[in-house]
Amino acid sequence: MSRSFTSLTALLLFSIGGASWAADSVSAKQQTVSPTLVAPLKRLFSHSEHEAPFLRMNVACTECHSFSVKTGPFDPLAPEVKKGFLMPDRKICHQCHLEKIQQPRRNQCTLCHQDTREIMPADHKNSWRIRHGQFAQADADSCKQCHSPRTCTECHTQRDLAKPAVHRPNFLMTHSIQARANPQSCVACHTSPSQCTDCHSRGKR
Amino acid sequence: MLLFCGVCLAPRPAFALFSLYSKTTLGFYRDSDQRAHYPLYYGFHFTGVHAGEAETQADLSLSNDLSGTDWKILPSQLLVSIPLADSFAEAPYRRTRLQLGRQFFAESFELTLLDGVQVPFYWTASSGCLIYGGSLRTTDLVDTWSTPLGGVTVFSEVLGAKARAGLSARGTGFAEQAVYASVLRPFATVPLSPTVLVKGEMTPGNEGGSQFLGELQFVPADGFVAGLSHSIRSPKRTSSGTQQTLYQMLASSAQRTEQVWLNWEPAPSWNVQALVRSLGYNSGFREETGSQQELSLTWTLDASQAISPVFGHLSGYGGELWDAGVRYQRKVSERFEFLTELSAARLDKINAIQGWAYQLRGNVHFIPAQRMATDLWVEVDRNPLFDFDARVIGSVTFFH
Repeated sequence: MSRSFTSLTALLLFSIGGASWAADSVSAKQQTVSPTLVAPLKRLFSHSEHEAPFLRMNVACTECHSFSVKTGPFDPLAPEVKKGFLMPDRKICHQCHLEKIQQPRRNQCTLCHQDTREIMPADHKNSWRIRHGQFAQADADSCKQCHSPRTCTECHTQRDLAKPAVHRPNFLMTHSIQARANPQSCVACHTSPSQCTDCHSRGKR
Repeated sequence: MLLFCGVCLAPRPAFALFSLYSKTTLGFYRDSDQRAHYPLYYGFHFTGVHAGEAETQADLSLSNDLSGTDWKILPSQLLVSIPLADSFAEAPYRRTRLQLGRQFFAESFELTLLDGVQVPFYWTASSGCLIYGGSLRTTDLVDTWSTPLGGVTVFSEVLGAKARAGLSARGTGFAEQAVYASVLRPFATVPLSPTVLVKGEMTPGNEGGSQFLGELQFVPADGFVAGLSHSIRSPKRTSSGTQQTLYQMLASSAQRTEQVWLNWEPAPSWNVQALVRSLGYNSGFREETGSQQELSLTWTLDASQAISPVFGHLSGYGGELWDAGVRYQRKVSERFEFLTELSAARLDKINAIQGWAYQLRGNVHFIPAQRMATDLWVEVDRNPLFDFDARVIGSVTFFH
């Protein structure tokens, strides 16, 4: 088993290395169209709504507005300053609103984005529920562009609420068939045998 | 000392940020003996960004069945993340940091909780190492099992591939050692745009503990993605004792899985997913096999509503299952959304329970005030065990 495993791994790695050498370098396809926002950019941010929390958090104007202007280094007659140099970009909003501040809505991104499918990476639409694990394990920090550690624990470890939609309908009747057909599928969230014995031996649920 | 140095070295923003929400959930159902159960859950969730950009995430839960006295306090996450260096301009999400406390751990094939420390160290935006150590805990958090774990992983982007390799040791005296590696390589300019993922873990001295995953994804045409994979998985104990894990209650060997899937978007508002799976393992009595087929469609009518029918078949030594269902969800306004789902299943189980099972369930999500959200789940079942079974779950979330 170990010899064949080693040989197979070596063959696959050699093939990948050869294909890597033959192929051009890869870069992710960049999104060229701005996502649809729930309001025009100028109205999306409300200074009056943010005034109290900013005061509480001691946020100064310069935390968001750089007030820095870049001009040509050898041009004494600098072009007129465009408004965009003074306005913060979306990364400023994301510093607080990307999984740090929780708003009363299911998907925090809908605070500004009308359709989350537009901002979702393409691979998230390809059977992502069953495949996201191996990609997250391959590069966990890349998930931090949109997600915090709580995104993982909410499904896999959080036990403070009942989540009916995690399992398919009729799971009470069908879970024994699922567990015996695919036992490894259970351990994505459940590792303790008490998950079974609580009902089947102790009648707790 | 390390903490003090970490706080001193990291840049200091002028502000600190705190977000806190708590959720209370109460349910009702009757079991097969007609006893009433009132499960009560309370969850407390805190996120803080402090001076020096250290971050805290805490998730605590308190749960009980009001018909009993079995209270549990379950900290599912108690994490402090202290930056030790600046992030990278081209990858601001990559930052050398110290993560301390109870945290989610997903290295190699592991998927559990770690009470300890993880230190991702980046020497460039695409390469570095991860040092980790502590005590592994079961994700169910209801037992006191734990096992020590320590290891190191080195990662880098090489020739367009994301590669990781490392070694770990766990168990009493760190006697259970493992070597693991993975390579993820997309080929965007090659015909069919394949993406290859190969991952393996070897446990010297314990061949039955080795694990493997190989996956190939390709794009035959625009809007059409397909893939196939083969895996051999052997979930490990999260205990240094002799008690079985949930997996070991069902299987005495590693499980092999082959699966083929495809994803098709014929139009922006349509998504079709199909999956075929073959499974096999040894149950301790004999070699068992299983198969699964699933077809699901999602029709997004507009940005606020979608319909999703799904059809499935599952068979194994536990029985056979055919099911079909449809889900409809709609966001009526910023403050009100709902979903409803109807499903019917034909079962034939190994314990001679046969028949039809029906379920109608629905959810209403309503925001009555700026800092408050409510949820109501209602579920109605009819199956060989219950002529009529209704379950209700209500929750209130406060955002402080």
